[in-house]
Amino acid sequence: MIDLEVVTLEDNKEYYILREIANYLYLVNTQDDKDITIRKNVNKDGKNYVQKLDSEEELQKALELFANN
Amino acid sequence: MENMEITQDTIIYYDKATGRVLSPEELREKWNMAVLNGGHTDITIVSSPAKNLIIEDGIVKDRVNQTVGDLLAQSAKQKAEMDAQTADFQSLLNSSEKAESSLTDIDNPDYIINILENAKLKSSMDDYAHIADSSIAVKDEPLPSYERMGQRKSIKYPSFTKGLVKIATVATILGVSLSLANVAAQNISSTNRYNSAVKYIEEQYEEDGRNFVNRNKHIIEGSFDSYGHPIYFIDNEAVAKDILAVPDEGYLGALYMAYEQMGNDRANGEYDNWDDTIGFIGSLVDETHPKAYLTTAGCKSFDEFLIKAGYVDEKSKEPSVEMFKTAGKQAVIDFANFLQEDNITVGGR
Repeated sequence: MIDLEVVTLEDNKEYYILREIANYLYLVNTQDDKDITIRKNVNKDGKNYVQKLDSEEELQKALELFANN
Repeated sequence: MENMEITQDTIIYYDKATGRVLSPEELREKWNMAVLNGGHTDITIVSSPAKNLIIEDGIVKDRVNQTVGDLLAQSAKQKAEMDAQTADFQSLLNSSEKAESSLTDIDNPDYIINILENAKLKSSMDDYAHIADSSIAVKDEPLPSYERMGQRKSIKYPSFTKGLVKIATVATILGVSLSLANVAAQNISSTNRYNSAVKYIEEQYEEDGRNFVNRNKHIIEGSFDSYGHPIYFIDNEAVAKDILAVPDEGYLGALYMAYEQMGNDRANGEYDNWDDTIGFIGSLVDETHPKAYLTTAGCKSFDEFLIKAGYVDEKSKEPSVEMFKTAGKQAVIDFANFLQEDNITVGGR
C-alpha cells in the first residue's frame, strides 16, 4: 500500500495522481484502474487547479515527458 | 533487535519468506550455500529504495505493518498479471506474424520492425483513444478546472503499477521509445529476427551517441519491484554501464548482466521460450540492489561482479578508469567503503 494524492474531476469521480512531471498529472480512477487520464496543474490566485489539456499536441508532449522521465 | 527505521543509507539482509533479519553468521552461511548451489539464494538485500520499510523486533515490515511475505505475495500477483498481459501480446503477435509470413522475408529487419510496429499499434490503440478523449478539452467550450485539495488515499500496488504501465505503453506507441518493439522482438522465436531487431536498435544507438535520454530506446521491458519502484531491462552494455554510474540506479546495470547471462543460457539451449525468460527475470523483480543480483548474474565472486559491473579493471584489479570518468573518484571510494562496511566474506574475497 502507498499513500497518493487524489483529485475529484468533472465526472465527480476520484483519481489518484500516479505521477507528476513538470506541470502534467498522470491519473488513474480510484475505482477503475483501466480509466486513466492526463491533466495539467494550473496555478491561479495562489491555488492549484487541475485542468484538461488544450490539444492532441499537448497530450503527445505529456506522453513524451512521461516516457523520458 | 531494537526497533529501527531504514534510511537511505541503511542496508539490511533478511529472509524472504519470514522477513526476519539475518545475523552476519547466517548471512555468510546462506551466501556460501548460494555459491555452492550455482547462484540461487533466498537472501533479500534492501537499500535506499526501501525507504518505506521499518524493522520491528527483528522483522522487516512496511509502514502499514505488512510483513515481507505480504509484500512478496502482492509482487507475485502483480507478476502473474503481467505474465497474462505478455501472453495476450504474444497471441496478438503470432496472429500478425502468421498473416504476413508467407509474403515476406522473415530475416528482413524492415519486415520485423513492421510487424512490431503493427502489433504495438493494435495493442495500444484503444488505450490511446481513451486517454485522448478523457484528457483533451472540447474545443471552444470553457475549460473546467478543479482545485487540488491535497487529500491523500491509500492505493494497492497492482492498481498503482497497472496504470503506469498503461500510460508507458501508450507513450511507446507514439514512437518515443522502442521498448515495446524490443519486447516483441524477443517474443518472436526466430533467433535471426531477434538479432536483426537488436542490431537495428544498436545502430540507432550509435547514431544517437551516448546519453541518458537515448538510453530509453534500449529498455526492452519495464516492470516494478514490490515497492512500486520501476525496474527496466536493457539490451545494451554501454547503456547499462551509463546507468550503473548513477548511484540510485545501479541495480539496472546488474539487471543487464543477469539478462546477458540469461542470453548465454538461451544460446546453450536453456530458457528457450519467453515464459522461462519472464520467469527468470521476474524472480529478480523484488530485489533492489546490485548485490542482490550477484548470484543470478552468474558471477562466482564479488571480484567477478565488480569487474563485470565496470567498477574494477580486469587486468589491474584497480577501480576502473571508466568508472572514474563516469562516476568520479568519490563514487568509487563510496562503493569500496560500502563493501568494506558489510564485512562479508564471499567467494574467496
